[in-house]
Amino acid sequence: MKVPYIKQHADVFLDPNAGLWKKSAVGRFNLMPTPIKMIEHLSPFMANSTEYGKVNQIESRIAHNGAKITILLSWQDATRNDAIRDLDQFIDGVAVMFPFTSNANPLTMGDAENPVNAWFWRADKEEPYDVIAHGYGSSKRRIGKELGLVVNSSYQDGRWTVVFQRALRAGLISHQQVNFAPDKVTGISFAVWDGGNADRAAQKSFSGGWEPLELEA
Amino acid sequence: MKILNNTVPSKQQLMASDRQLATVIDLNKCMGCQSCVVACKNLWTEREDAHHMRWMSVATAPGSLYPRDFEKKGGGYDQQGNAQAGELPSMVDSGDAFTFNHQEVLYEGNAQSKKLEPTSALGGAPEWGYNWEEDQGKGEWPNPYFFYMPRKCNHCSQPACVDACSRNAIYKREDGIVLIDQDKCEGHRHCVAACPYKMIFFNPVTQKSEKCIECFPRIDQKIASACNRQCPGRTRAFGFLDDRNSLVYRLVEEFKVAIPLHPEYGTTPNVFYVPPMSPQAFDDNNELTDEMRIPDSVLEGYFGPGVHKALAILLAEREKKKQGEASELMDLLISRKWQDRFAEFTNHPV
Repeated sequence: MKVPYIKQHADVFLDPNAGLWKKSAVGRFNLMPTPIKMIEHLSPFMANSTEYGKVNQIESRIAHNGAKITILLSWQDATRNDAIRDLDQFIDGVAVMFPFTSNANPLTMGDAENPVNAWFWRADKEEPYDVIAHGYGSSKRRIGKELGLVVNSSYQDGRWTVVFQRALRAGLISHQQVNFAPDKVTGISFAVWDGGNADRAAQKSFSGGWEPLELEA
Repeated sequence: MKILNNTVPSKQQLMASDRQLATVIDLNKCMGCQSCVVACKNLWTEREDAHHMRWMSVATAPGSLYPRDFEKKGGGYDQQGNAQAGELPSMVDSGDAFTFNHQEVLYEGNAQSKKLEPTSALGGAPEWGYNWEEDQGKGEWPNPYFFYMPRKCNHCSQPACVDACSRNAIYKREDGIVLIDQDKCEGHRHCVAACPYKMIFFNPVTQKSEKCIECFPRIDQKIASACNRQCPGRTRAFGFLDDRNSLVYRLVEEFKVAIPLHPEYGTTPNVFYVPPMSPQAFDDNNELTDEMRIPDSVLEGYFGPGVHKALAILLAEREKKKQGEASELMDLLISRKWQDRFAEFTNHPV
């Protein structure tokens, strides 16, 4: 995906209806259920699941203004699950994931040597999470706000729209966040949880491999 | 970038324990007073976000028990050790958390005109609740029957919850107590679905799962867990299963009269029950027979085929007592001194 440089104040990008988004091409990515049997050793019970991961497409627009990168996501979801009212209910969510190294495997959320960084939004939370993972089952959620990650979300006509925004360059190296730079190519992958379908953890839809992400100067 | 070495523990590591604490409950003496339930609730779940949780429960058997119809909600393992799919109990299945119009009736001068009425935690009139079917039981006159089924976490030796948690947030302590690390739990509830006894409860406010902790802060001080200690019926024994001097060892391993609930669930539970010796049944002429009033099939349904041998031993020993002979087993079950029941866990709470 080409990520155009658009000279606008960062706050304008947070509006999914802003005119600037017309300058960014829509990426449409097919989603599929995660190959959950692959992680049977982490939960043979979860690995028995069959009906998860039914959201099959996500749309993405991405742009930057030289200081911040903004990712606009939207997908169809007939049920809005943004609160747990009963004990058997789950929450809608979406995440984008980036590799630290070219060897990081998106299927496993990286490994001990090749970690990944993800931005994770849940429909019941005001703030997103910044996630660091060294392989599936090792992920750690950090409060996104403390790491400069902001989100804007809305639900309309059976469709979620979620906007993530963060500085191209993260703060402290010790925080283990990915950095973006013009003319540098990295990768992105997508995941969606449908709370109405009891999606949670690895029970989700995902885009499979890394989509190339190229920031224009 | 410096990579942190985040090793993921194996399930074997998480499930390993040096020893195993166990509880024995004598169903012949449980009178359904709910003292154990209240003792537990006062200590651990008397919280706004946990009113629906009963880590300790007593329900009437046969019946839907607690949580409602847990026996139909799957989980556990089949005979080949394969993980079985399970369902999540709802708020209502979990006994609900009623609120009452106390203010309106008791404090606003309406005591003569309005009734106290419960409201479900989900709003509206209750559909079902904790002890909804108390003392209903089964059977037709003149042979109705029921017994009480006290339940808590079994702290299983093969805990399906540990196996199910993709976050590896659940583990066994060295004394066999199964705990959920609240810092690691992300509320995915695979453990709730996997536990065939449905003894894990989701907290919708913290969005983490909770369960009986066997009062481990008390255990660490050699104080018996509250449910065990508070039982006025002297139904409880508690201690390490390998402690040959403990009452749990003697009842489970030596006399073999205490057996687990639903051993077929495949998790090797560590709460053991002395099965109920039911009253004799009446025949059509209202004469007592030698038949037990609780059908064998009912008891076998709960405790598996091992229940017959356990009952045979209990009945034979009781007969000895009736004939004026000595029975060490009956004396142990009578349990005159509370200290005899709890092995090394006889300190007082302070």
